[in-house]
Amino acid sequence: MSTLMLPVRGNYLDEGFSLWSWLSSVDHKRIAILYTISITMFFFVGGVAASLIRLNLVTPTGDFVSAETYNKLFTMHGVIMVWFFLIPSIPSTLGNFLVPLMIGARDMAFPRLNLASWYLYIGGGLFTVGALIAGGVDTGWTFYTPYSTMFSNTHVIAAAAGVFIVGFSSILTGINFIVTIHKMRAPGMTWFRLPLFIWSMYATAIIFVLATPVLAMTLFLLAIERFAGVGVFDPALGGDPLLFQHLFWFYSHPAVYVMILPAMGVASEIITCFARKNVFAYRSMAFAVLAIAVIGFLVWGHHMFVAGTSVYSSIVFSILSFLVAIPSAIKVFNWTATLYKGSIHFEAPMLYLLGFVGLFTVGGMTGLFLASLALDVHLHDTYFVIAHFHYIMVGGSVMAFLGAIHFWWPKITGRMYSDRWARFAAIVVFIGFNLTFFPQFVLGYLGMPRRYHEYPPEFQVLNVLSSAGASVLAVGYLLPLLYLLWSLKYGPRATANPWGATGLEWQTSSPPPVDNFASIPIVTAPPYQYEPPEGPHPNPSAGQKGEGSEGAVGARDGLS
Amino acid sequence: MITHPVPAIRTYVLVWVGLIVLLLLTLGSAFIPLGWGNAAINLAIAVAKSLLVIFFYMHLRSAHYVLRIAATAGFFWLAILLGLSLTDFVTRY
Repeated sequence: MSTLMLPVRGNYLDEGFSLWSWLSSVDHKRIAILYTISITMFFFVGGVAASLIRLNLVTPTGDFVSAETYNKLFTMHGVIMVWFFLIPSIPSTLGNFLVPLMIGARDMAFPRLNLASWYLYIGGGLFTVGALIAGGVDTGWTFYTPYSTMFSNTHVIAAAAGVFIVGFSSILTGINFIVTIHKMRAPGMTWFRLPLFIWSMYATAIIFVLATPVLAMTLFLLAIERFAGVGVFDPALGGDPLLFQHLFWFYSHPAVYVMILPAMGVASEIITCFARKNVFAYRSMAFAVLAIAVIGFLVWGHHMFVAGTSVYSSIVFSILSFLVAIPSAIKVFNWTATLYKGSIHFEAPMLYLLGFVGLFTVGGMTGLFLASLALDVHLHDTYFVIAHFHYIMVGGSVMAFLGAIHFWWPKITGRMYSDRWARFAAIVVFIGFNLTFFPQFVLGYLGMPRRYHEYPPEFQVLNVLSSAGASVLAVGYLLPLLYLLWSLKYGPRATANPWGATGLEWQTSSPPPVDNFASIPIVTAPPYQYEPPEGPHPNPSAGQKGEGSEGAVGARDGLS
Repeated sequence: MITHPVPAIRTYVLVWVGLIVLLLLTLGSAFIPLGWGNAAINLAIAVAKSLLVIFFYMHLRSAHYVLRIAATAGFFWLAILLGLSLTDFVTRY
């Protein structure tokens, strides 16, 4: 098969150094960097809000901020972390960077649309942050009616408008991923030769496209009821207050899978690399990702068991919620089976991902507590729920995001970081995370409600433990920022494949050239080739091309 | 690039006239009290208008099968939203 040869150009980082060269670039790799910088800034804004919340909860009497400010802080934390960090985190940064590289393409299918989605993201972010600076919002990130439509005197419409705008960024990214994965795969890159990260991006993109419009419509209906008094959710005007929750969670529960499916893709890539074993049961892993994406659309009612939904509806949603645990469990078991008899190496990315598997399992299992109708009556809207979803979103998604950043950092920047510091940070994050959130399981089980500014004195010890953990966690998050930035200038140059990983992205230089590949590769083998037919397992730190990568792509003609 | 026959301008105009007629029918039904019949008629008219837009203005009548599958998936997901929501609304009392 003939492939188009391009003259070899420099790496994408050297393509231009002015601010405009970045703000106007349609190169998927540069757009990924723009997203990375943006979401990191939002992460630290949301993190400051979280720190203030934890500081306030050190004492039972809420001495640090007023009740009104406290409401605005947890709203700000939730809105920013969900829509401006977690949802775009892995897809928009690593997804943007890696999807074309992993499938052997030169760019996304719609490069300009890709840049437009970043501008929409920034526009939505500025809108929402503006609302928060102008006085804040106190509804919680869920914007529940009737409080948001009838009673709150804060900037609800402006904040919702920002979320509305950023939703279009998600939709455009989703469309771009779907078309790119369908149409731009390299010759020979069949569906079952796709890396599992690509499968997870594909499933995520489907959720983006199918769920996000419902959020946009829901927020629009909220705005017109609040602004113009059109009866949609207000019973006095002929509306139904639970309709908002149905519509909101039809988006927001699948949005949880937008956060966790990319993390699962990252886990599959990193665990197989550092266990030096092929992913166990590849096809079941791919189908499990799709199953989670589909079943994830059928479970939203479990957020509403005590909100006044019918018993029949609750039973249906409870059963469906238990069903989604099956493909999730398949993935956890398969990662474990991948580790079994592997030649495991504990580099920093692997530490993060081992942490991910354990914390995600705890988060997932406690989700089953909440899917049980009777137990949910006791646990609903308590700190048990807070702990549960932070185990998924922080213990799961953020750990995987950090692991992914460490794994692909040499590819993205062309520099190596200090693995010693990185391993130390991974352990600090793991300890800090558990110290922060495990006490919250106990607090919730004992009955401490979420979103309360003050609490009974008997809960203080557990709250102090949680706040102490938050400060450890903050150190754990600041450390990578420091040593990764340090590595940009002082880190040793990275080779094309420092981990000895398989996959097309490791067959091009670090950082990749503007066009990704000198010629489009031809793929003749499955994505994971870590197990040689015979002989010992290769050492992942061995050098530029680990022996385990042999045969990852049958023909690599023209790869730079 | 996938190409498909583009309808003539006349077709677009006729579809537009059809949409206006259906709109007037919706308006007219508001003046005839039929109880639940009003909702049924208006929903039927809404479905007819949607189909006109989907098949003619969105070109799905002559589109590639992948596009038809994508559009069908959208309706399938809408059916999930409405269907599972109804498990609550129709059994609440």
